[in-house]
Formats: sequence, C-alpha cells, structure tokens
Amino acid sequence: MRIYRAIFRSWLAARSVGAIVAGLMLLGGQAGWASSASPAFDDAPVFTRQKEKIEASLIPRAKSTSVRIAFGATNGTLADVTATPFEEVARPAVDEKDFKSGVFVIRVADVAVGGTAKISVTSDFFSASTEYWVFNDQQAVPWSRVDIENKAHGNLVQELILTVADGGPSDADHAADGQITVVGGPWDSFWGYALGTLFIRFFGIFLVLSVLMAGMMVSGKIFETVEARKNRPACASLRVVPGRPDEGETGTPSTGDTPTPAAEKIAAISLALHLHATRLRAQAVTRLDAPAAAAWIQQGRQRAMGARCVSIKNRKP
Amino acid sequence: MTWDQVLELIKSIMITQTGIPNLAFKEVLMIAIAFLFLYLAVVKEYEPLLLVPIGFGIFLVNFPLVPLMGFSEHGNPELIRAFYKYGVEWEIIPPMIFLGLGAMTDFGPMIANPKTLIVGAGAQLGVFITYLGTLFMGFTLKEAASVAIIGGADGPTTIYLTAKLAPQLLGANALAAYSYMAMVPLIQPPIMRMMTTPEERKIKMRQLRPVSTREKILFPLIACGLIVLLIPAVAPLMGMFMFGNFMRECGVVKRLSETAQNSMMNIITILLGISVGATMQADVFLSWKPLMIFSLGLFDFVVCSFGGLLTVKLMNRFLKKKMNPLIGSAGVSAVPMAARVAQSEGLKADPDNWLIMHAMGPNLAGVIGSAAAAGMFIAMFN
Repeated sequence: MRIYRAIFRSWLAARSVGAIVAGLMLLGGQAGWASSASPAFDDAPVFTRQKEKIEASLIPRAKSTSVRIAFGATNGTLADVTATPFEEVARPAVDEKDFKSGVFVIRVADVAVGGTAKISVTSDFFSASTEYWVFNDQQAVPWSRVDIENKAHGNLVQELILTVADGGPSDADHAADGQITVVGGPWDSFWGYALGTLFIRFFGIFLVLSVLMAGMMVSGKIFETVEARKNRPACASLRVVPGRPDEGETGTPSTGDTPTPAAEKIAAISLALHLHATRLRAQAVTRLDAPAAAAWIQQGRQRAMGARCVSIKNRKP
Repeated sequence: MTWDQVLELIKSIMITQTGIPNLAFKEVLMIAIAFLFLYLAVVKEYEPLLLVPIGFGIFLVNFPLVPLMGFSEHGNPELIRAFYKYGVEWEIIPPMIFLGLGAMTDFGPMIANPKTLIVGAGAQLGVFITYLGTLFMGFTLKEAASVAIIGGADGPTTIYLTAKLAPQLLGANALAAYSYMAMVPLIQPPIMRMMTTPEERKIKMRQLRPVSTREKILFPLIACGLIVLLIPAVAPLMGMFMFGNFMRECGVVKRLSETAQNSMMNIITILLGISVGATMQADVFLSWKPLMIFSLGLFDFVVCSFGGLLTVKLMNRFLKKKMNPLIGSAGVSAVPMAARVAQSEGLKADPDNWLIMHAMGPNLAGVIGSAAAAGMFIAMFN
C-alpha cells in the first residue's frame, strides 16, 4: 500500500510535462491529423507494361522502399491493371491493414466465353502464407478468399496463381462475355505479421547482444590472461630484492642479473608490497571492513588486494 | 496622396507585413507551451541543454509570417528549415550526436561485466509492447515504431528513427523522449521499489575487474563489427558511436576526441534542438496525436524499466553471484541519470552499497540495445 501511495505521490509531485502539455492541447485541440486512415501506399503505384506482363511499382505503407508486383495471365490477354482506393470496396468484414500491397483491378480479355483464365501475381513482397481475396458486390459476402496456388521461386519471390471463371463468382463484371475483371488483392494477416515480426525482433535484440556478450567474455578472458602474463615478470623480479625472498613463491627464473627498464617502478611496488605485508601481519585482515572507513576507501583497498592476489595466484609454480 | 489612401496603405502593411492581425489563438497557445518548456528547462533544470533550444524553437516558429520554416520563392529553405533539412531530414545530426556520445563514453563497466548487455536487451521490452499498443490506437506501422522507440530513453535514436519513418511526429516524439529522460528520477523509483524486495536491494555486487586500455581500444572495433554484421541498418548510429569511442580510447587523437565531446556536440545540440522545436507549429502540433504520444511514451518508459528489472531477477535465478536487481532499471539508456537513480535507491536500502559503476553497465548496454531496436525497426520497413 505504501508503494502505491509512493507512486501516487511521485506522480502528483511530478506534474509531468506530458500532463501539462496534454491539458493545453485539449484546450486548443484541433484535429491536425484528424483521421488515422491513410492509403495503402505512400505514393500512387506506377504501372508499366512489358510485353505480356504489367508491373506495378509502389511503396506500401508498411515499407520505406518500393516493391514490384508483376501481373500476368494465361488463357487470355492481360488488358489492364489499375489500383483502386480501398474506400470504394471497404466492408466491415475486412480490414484495410491486411491488404498491405493495396487492392487492384485486373482485366483479362480474349478469354473463351464461359471459360477460365489463370492470373499470376508475382512479388518478393509476398510470403508463403499470402492469400488472395477478391471483391464482388453481387455476392452475399462481397469479400472472399479464393483458392490460389502459391509457388515459391528463388530469391524469396512468391507467385500467386488464381484461376478465375468468366462470369464466375470472382468475375466482377458478372457476365460470361469473354472478359474477366478481378477486383482484389494479396492478403496477409496484419496482426499475425505484426506480432510475429515483433516477437522475432525482440528476441533478435537478445541474440545480437548475447553474441556481443559472448565476444566480450572471450576477449575479456584473453586480455586477462595476457595482462597476467605481462605482469608476471615484474612480480617475479620482486624476488631479487635483497633480504626479502618471498617464502613459497618459486617458479620463474630470477631476472636479477638483467636490469629491467622499469627498475624504479618495481622498487616502488616491492616497497609498497613489503609495507602492506608487514602491516597485514600486525593487524587482523578484518581491518579491511572496519566500519569507520568509507565505502569508497574499502573498495579501493579491496581492489588493491584483489590485484595483488590475482598476480600471485597466476604465477606458475 | 489622400488621407484614405494613407490609411489604406497602413492597413495593407498591417495585414501583409506584420504578424499582429495574423496571430491566432492556436499560435498563442503554442507560445505558451514554449514558455512552459523554457520554464522547465531554466527553473527546474529538466534537460536544459535540449529543452532550451527546443523551447525557443517552438517560441520562434509560432509567430505568424516568420520566414523560418518555409521555402523562399526561389525554393531555397529558410533558416531553420535549412537546419532541419540538412541536419535532420538528411539524417546527419543524430549520428553526429552518437559520435559525440561515443567520445564521452567509458565502456569500462560494461566490458568488465558483459552480462549486463542482456539487461540492456531486456529493457527494450516496452518498445515492442508499446509498438503493438500504438497500432491498436490507430497509428500506422511506421508511426507506431517511431513512438515505441521513446521507451528506449535515447533522444538521438528517437529522432533518427522518427525522421526516417514518421517525420510528421518528430516534434512530439523528441519532446516526449527528452521530457521522460529528464523525469527518470521521478518515474523509476516507485517501479524499482515495487519490483524488488528489501533483501534484493541490499545485494552487494562483486568489485568489477580492472579493464586495460588495450581492451578498451579494441572494444569499439569488436562491438561495431559484430553489431553491424548482424544489423546493418544500425550502422550509421552504431558506427559513429563506436568511432567516437575509438577516438577517445586510442589516445592519439585527443584534439579530435575533445572536439567531438565539446564543441561539435554543443553546435549540433543547438541545431538539433532548434530544428526539433521548429517542427512544432500550431497547425501540426495541436491535435490528439501528441497527447497520445505523451501517454504512450510514459507507458513505454515504465514497461522498459520493468523489463530491465525483470531481466535481472530472471538472470539471478541462473547466476551464482547475484546481481542487484536495482541496476536493471538502468537498462533504459538515459545515461547517466538512470544509473544514478539505481545508485541512490541502493544507498537507501544499504548505505554501504555503491551500485553506480555496476549500473553503468546496463546503462550503456541500454544505449546499444535501443540503437539495435531502432535498427530492427528500420530493417523491418526495408
């Protein structure tokens, strides 16, 4: 209960910038961004014909870069492909967000009257789970999923192949007249995509930072070993200080004959260690945690001792 | 010239060449908001380095007919528009700020305890939860990503991502990010107390090992290589961050390092602040979206702090030498404020428990984590 009170008090005390700004904005609230609805594209798609195929280039709302969608037809001639605003075909049962490439009107001519044509829609923006939904306002349920063949090509390219009957339920001109008009678009579950990609990306961050952590742990061990080896000759040279051979510390050959470049430093370190060791003999080790010493002093002492212990521990026998 | 003609001329000058008749209520309101931010910066000292230029930018740009954020009749950008266009739109200023931050940062505590990187990742929880929440509120995918990154408590990252994905939200997002960063000492302690027991808050952590200069020099190269290899989209931010740090640690370019830390950083901060402030013109800013952004940003920040604390608690289940969960809240970037808060909460539980150096690890990991999250979002839309 105290915690909740503390939270409440904090918020009251904070009088957060957000709340103040919010209040002011409410006072002057005018809808600059009145509607959250926005078209499926950042820019209108550009259609270009290349022989039998028509290619659409567009920047979908869910992307920063442009994608290409190629349309083709067999058993007929691909006459025309256009983009249509979603508002014209919007129904409560469907969500615009699921049509992330937008909605297209595909017209196929020269189809055998009452026959079928195959329409292919190809892009690397589709996935293996992409569906194709068509709109026909003459049907009881205007929007419906059609059976498609979802073929995977190389480089993550997926081809959706729809089989549409002239005058059938997917033909928006409702007539068996040798012409097929298909209104619809590729469909991907928006929330499925959003949740899936978020889950992957959140754990992706763990993965990236875990790789970095592993790299740092390995490099840390290497550096610690290298540093310890580097320190070893200096520590070993302490043994040549006259009259103070350390008992029990044997190993590396004496370098006493060769003057080291950091002789003064070594002498200073040995003197410090000598003073430190004699002091430890005289006083209890628990003196390090004496309550009178400030925490920072204690940490410094422990650190100095830790460094000394590490260098001794790492010496080879 | 008749008296009527003189009056007509004066009237014409008044209408077309002075701001007085064009000053509307919404502009006055925005100027009041500018005063509020200037007050918070000057009197309360909330992030003054950023809030002073931002506040002044808001103040300046909301006067009518000022030639600051438009284009001249020859199509050239006016003064602040030029700062904005070449600094923010061209995505130059945020990476330059990262360069300065890198030059200011000592990665020693993080190198000494690399496990804290996981805390930095866990503290990005709020970013992803808020992303979903923002989508539910009717924001577009790109807008949601730019709002969600506020929880990372990293101003330059927020500005970089927003400028890239949803520039229309730049002012509100930047303001929310910097405001909440300034309010870390108010927002985090109740969450920290709620999420930890008194015993946990007393956990003393092992002294960090000393980190050699050589290790510090190699760290930016190793870290940059690994991160950019895994998330190429984050290269502008991470590359500059690590470049700045390399300049600092290598020790042979002290002049460059000092320039990056001081003069360059100060110049860029001025340009960035005033540019961001100038995006908050009344016509754009006075709507329900900034209000939502401030609410979602707060929620985001709270969940990110929660995520960091939770990550340490989970890690403690597997670690022999336990970490103090208080350092988890420092996993949101907000360097070094979040680490200081962990320190002060630790001292409240045990006056001999000094956590600041331990908290700096997750704090720096949070900077890397939030940049990685931004990279993930950018990659998602590419």
